[in-house]
Amino acid sequence: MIALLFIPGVPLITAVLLLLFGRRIGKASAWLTVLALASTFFMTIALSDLVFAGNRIGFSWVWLSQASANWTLGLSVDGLSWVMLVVVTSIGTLIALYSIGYMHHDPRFSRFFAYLSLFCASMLGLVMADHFLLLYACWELVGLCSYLLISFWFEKSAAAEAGRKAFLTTRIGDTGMLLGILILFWSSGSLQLGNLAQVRQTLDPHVLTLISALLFFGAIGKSAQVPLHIWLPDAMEGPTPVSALIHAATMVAAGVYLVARTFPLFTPESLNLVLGIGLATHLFAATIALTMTDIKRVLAYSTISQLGLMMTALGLKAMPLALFHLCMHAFCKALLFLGAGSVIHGTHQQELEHLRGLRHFMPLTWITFLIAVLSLSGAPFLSGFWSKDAILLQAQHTMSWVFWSLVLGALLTATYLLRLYLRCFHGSPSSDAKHAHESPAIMTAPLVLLAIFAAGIGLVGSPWMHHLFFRIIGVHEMHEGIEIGMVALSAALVLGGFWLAWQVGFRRRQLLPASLRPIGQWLYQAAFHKYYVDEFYDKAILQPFYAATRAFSRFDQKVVDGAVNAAGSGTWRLGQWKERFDRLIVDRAVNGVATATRNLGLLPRLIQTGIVHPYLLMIVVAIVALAVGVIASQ
Amino acid sequence: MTLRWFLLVSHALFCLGVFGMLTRRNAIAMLLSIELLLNAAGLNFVCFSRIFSNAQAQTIAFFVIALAACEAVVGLAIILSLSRHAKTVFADEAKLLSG
Amino acid sequence: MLLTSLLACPLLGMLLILVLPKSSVRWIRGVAVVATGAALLVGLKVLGQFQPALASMQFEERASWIPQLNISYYLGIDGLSLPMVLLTVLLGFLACLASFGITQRQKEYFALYLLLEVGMLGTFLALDLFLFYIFWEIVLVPMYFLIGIWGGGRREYSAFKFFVYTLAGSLAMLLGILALYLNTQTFDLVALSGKASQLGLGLQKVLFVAFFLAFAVKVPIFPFHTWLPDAHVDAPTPISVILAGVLLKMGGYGFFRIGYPLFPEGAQWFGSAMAVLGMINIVYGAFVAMAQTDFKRLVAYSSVSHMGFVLLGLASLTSEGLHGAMLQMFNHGIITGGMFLLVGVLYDRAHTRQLDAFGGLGARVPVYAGLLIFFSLATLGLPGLSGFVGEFMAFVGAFGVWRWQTMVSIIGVVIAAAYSLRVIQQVLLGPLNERWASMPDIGPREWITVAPLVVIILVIGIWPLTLLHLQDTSLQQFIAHVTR
Repeated sequence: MIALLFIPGVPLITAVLLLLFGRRIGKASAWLTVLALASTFFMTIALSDLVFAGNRIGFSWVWLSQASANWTLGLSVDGLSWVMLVVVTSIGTLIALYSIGYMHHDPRFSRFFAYLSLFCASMLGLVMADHFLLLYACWELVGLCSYLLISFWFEKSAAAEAGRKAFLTTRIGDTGMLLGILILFWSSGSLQLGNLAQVRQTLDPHVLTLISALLFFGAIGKSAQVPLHIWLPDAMEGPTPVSALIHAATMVAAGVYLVARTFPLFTPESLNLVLGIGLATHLFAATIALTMTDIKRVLAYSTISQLGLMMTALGLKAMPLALFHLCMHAFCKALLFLGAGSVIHGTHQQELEHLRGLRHFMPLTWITFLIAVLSLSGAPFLSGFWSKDAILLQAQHTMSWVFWSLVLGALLTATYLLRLYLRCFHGSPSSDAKHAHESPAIMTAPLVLLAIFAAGIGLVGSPWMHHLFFRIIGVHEMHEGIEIGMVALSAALVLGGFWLAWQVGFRRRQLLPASLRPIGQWLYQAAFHKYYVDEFYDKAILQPFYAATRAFSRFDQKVVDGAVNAAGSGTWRLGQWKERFDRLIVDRAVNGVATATRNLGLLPRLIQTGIVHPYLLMIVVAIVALAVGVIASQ
Repeated sequence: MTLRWFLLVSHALFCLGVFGMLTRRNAIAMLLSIELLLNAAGLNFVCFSRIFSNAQAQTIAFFVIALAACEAVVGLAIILSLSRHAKTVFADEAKLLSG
Repeated sequence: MLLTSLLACPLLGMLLILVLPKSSVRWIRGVAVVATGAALLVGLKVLGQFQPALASMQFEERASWIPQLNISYYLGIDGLSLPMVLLTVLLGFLACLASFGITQRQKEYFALYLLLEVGMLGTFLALDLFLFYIFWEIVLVPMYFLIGIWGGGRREYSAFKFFVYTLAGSLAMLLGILALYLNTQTFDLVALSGKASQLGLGLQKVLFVAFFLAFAVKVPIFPFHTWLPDAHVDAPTPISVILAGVLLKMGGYGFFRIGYPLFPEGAQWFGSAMAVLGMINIVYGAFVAMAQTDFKRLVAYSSVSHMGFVLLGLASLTSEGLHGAMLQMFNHGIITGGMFLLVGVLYDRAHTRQLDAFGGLGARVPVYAGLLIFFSLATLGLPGLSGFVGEFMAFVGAFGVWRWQTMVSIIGVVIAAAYSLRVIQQVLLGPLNERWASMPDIGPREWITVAPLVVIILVIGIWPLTLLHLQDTSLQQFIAHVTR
C-alpha cells in the first residue's frame, strides 16, 4: 500500500518546505505543520479497520541492490505500530498547536516547526519501519532532530552543549545497536522486522542473547536508561514543547518501542538484563526526582523513572503492558510538560521556590496539571492506574521482590509528583506568581484535550472495554475483572505519596528521628547531585578521552610525522656526509695524483730550457756516447 | 790519394760544423754550421761511392745537397719570422719552449 | 574517441591558456571554465551511453605507441572507473569555479590546474600500465607547484613533502611494473588480469606489496598519511578540494584496478593486514581529528578516517563491502570536497581557521550555517545522506569476514559524531563572537559550487542505487575474478 508513504511523507515534505522557504511562509508555517500532523493522524485513524482486523499492511521497495533480497526496505503497519502511530500523531499535533502560542515571539519561528515536523516524520518512519536498516536510519534521524531542537536556542552555551550531549550519548548506544544489526545480518542473513519469530528459531540462543543485549544497548541510550541517562535532564535546555515531544511521544519512546518490536529476539538472559536495568533506573531516577527544584528537571527524572518502569515490564516479559504504559505515560507526560510550559510562559520562572499558589492565577493549567499528576501517580481509574496496575499485577505473579520494588517506586512517583504539584499551585502566592497570567487559548486548548486523554484514555486497556488496546496489538488472553486489592493498594500509594509530599515536600517537616538525620541529609545531597554520575563520567570517560585524542595527535605529530621528517633530514644529512666524503677523500685522491704527476714533471723541466744549444750539445754527447758504445761493443 | 785523406777532410768539416753549431749564438751562423755537417756527410758518400763503385751513394749525395737547400730555405724562413717577432737572431734568446 | 576527447578538453584548454597573454585574466578564467565544463559534459555523455549491464570495458580506444615494448595508448571505462571519472570531472568543474578567488599569476595557475585534471582523468581511464604510470606521475608536477606557489603557511615544505613522499611510493610501483613486464611481456591491464594465475604466489606477494606502497601513500594509509594534513592545510581551497576529492581516490582506485585483479592471491594474503590498517585508519584518524584546533586539519584527518572504510570494505571481498568501498570513495570526494569549500568560504571572510576563534555564527550567516551543518552531518554518517550508505555497507561487508576489526572500527563512528558536532558547536553555536558581527553570508558563486554536492549527497543517501547499479556488474565480475 503506497499510501503508507504518506504518513511519514507528509510531515517530511512539510519539514523540507519549511526549511527551504520558512522565512517566506512566516507564521503560516505553524499551521502548515499542525495541518500535516493532523492529516497523518487522520490517515492513521483511517487504517484502523484494517489493523483491527489483524492485518499487516506493508509497502516495500528495493534499496541497495537488485540482486539481493536482503535490502528490500519497507514500511508496514500492524497493531503494535498502529498504536504508536496514534500516540505520536495525536500528541504531535497537540504539541504543534500548543507551540504556536509558546514560540510566538521566537525569531526562528518557522525553523522550529520545520524541526518539529522532521522530528515527527522520523519517529513515524521509525515506528513503521519494516527493516532494521530503515529503523536504524530513522533512529538516527530522531537523534538528529532532538539535537537540533534541544540546542534550538543555540546562543545559550548550555543549550548547545545539551544538544551535543544528547546526540553523542545516544550515538554511543546506537553503535551497540548497529553492532547488533550486523551480527543479526551475518547470523541470519535477514534484516526484516516482520519475521523475527522465524529468525529466532534458526539462531543459537547465545547469539540471540548477544544480539538482543546489543539492541537493548541502543534502547538504553535512546530511552535514557541508567548508564546513559545523563543526556535527558540536560535536554531541558530546549523549548518546553520540545521537552514534551521528546519525553512523551518521540525520542525516548523509541527505545521502548525498539525492545517491544524486537521482542521475539530477546532471550531470558537478556530480558533479565532489561529487567535489572529498568528497575534500577526506575528507583534511581525517582529518588533524584524527589530532590530537584527545577520544575522541568523533576519531570525529566520522572520520565527516566517511568521509562525504567516500562523496561521493567519488558523484562517481566509483559511487552503489551510496557507498551500500554508507554502510551498512558505519553499522554500524562505531554500534559505535564505542556502544563509546566504554560507555567513558565506565564511566570518566566521554572525554579520551584519562585512558584507558589499559582492555582488562583492559572486555573486551567492547575486543573489539567492535577489530572496529569494523579493519573501518572496511579490514582484509581485514571489512565495511569490501568497500566501501572497491570504491571504490578504481572510482577506479583512472577517475582515478588520486583513487585515490592515497584510498590516502592510507585510511592516515590506519587510523592515527587504531588510535591511538584503542591509547591507549584498551593501555598501563598509568590511575587512572581502574582504577575502570572493564564496562557492563551491556543495553549490551553491542547491542555484540556490532553487532560481528557490523560484521564480517560486508559479505559481502552481496562477490563471495562474488554482490553481493546491489547486486542489491537494482538494479545487476546487478558486477566478479566478488577482486583480490589490492587485498587486499594494504588489508592493507598497515592494517599501515602500525598501525605509524604505534604509533610516533607510542602511543609518541610522533618520526619526522620534525629539520629538518622545525618544519613538522610547525606542521601539527600547525593540524590540532589544526581549521585555525581556526570562528574564521574567527566573524570572517568571524557577527560581520559580528550587526553587520548591529544596524545594521539601528539603521537602523530611527533612520532609518525617525526619519522617522516627524520627520514627527510636523515637523507639530507647523509647527503652532507657524502658531500664531505667526496670533497675530502675522492677529490683529494684525484688532486693528489695530479699533484704528484706535476711534481714529477718539475725534474725534467730543468732540462727543457727552450734554448737550442743545450739540446744540440745533448745530441752530440749522445751520439758520441752511442758511437763509443757501439765501437766498444765490437 | 787514398781514402784516408778524404775522410780526414770530411771529419774535419764535420767537427767544424759541430763546433760551430754548439758555439755560435747567431742562428744564421748555426745554419751555416749545419751546412758544413751536411757537406761533410755528402763528401763521405761521394768518397765511398768512388771506392766501392756504387752509384747509389752518389744519388744519396745529391739528395743531401737538395736537402741542404731545402733546409736552408725553411731555416732562413724560421729565422726571418723569429727576427720579426722577437727582434733577434740569437738562438739562445729564443726560449719560448722553455719547460 | 569519447575518452580521448575527455582527455583533450582540459589539455586543449591548457594549451589555449598558454598562448593567451598574462593580463587577460577574464579570458583565462573563461577558457578554464569552458574546458572543465566541456569535460563535465563529455563525462555526462559517457554516463549516458554507458551500459551498466556489461562487465567488460567500454568505449575502448587502442593505438600502438611503442610497439617494441608492447606499450599502447589504451583507454577504456567500466563500472569501477566510471564513478571516479564522474567525480573528477564534477569536482574539476566546481573547483575551477572556486578558483576564481585566486588573485595572482592566474595564467600559470589555470594552466597547471588543467594539466592536473588531464593527469587525474588519464589515471582513471588508462588501461595500459605504462600509460597509467605516466598519468599517475603527471599529477604530481602541477600539484607540487599549485601547493608550493599558491598555498599558504609552510607551503614549500608541504609541497616538497607531498612530492617526495608520493614519488618515493611510486618508485616501488615502477619496480613492480618492471618486474611484471619482465614476467609477462605486456602492459595491457586487461590481459594482465587474465594472466594473474601465471604468476607464482611469492611473486604476487612481492608485487602486491610494491604496488601497495604506492597506493598506500596516496590513499593515505597509516602510517604513510602525514603528508596529507600538511598538504591539505597549506594548499589553496580549490586544490584542497581536488586533493581530498580526487587524488586520494587514485590510491583506492589503484587497488581496484591493479592491486586486486592483477595479484588476487597476493591481495588475499594481505587481506588481514588490510583490514587492520583500515581499522587503524578509521579509529586513529578520528582520534587525531578530535584533537585538532585548525578547521582544515580536522577535515584532513577526518579524510584519513573515512578512507579507512574503503580499506575495510576492500579487505572484506564481499559484494556489500566492495560496494561500500566504492561508494565511500565517491562519497568522500563529494562530502570532503564540499567541506573544504565551506572551510574556504569561512577562511576568505575571517582569515583564520582556528575553530575557537569563531562561535555563534549560526544566527549571523544562516545559509552558511545550514550548509555547514548539512556537510557535518554527512561527515558523521547520518542516515539519509550518502556518507551513511558507504560506511554502513562497508561495515556490513566487513563484519562477516573481519569481526573484531569491524567492531573496533565502529568506535570511529562515535568519534566522527563527536568531532563533527564539535565543529558545529565551535563555529556556529554559542554566543556570537563580536569579531564577526558583520560577516557576510555565503555568496552566489560559492553557492553554485556547493549546491550540486548537496543534491548528490541527498540523492545517493536516499537512493544509492543510482550509483550502485553503475558499478554492480563490474564489481560482481571483480569478486568472481579475485576470489576464484
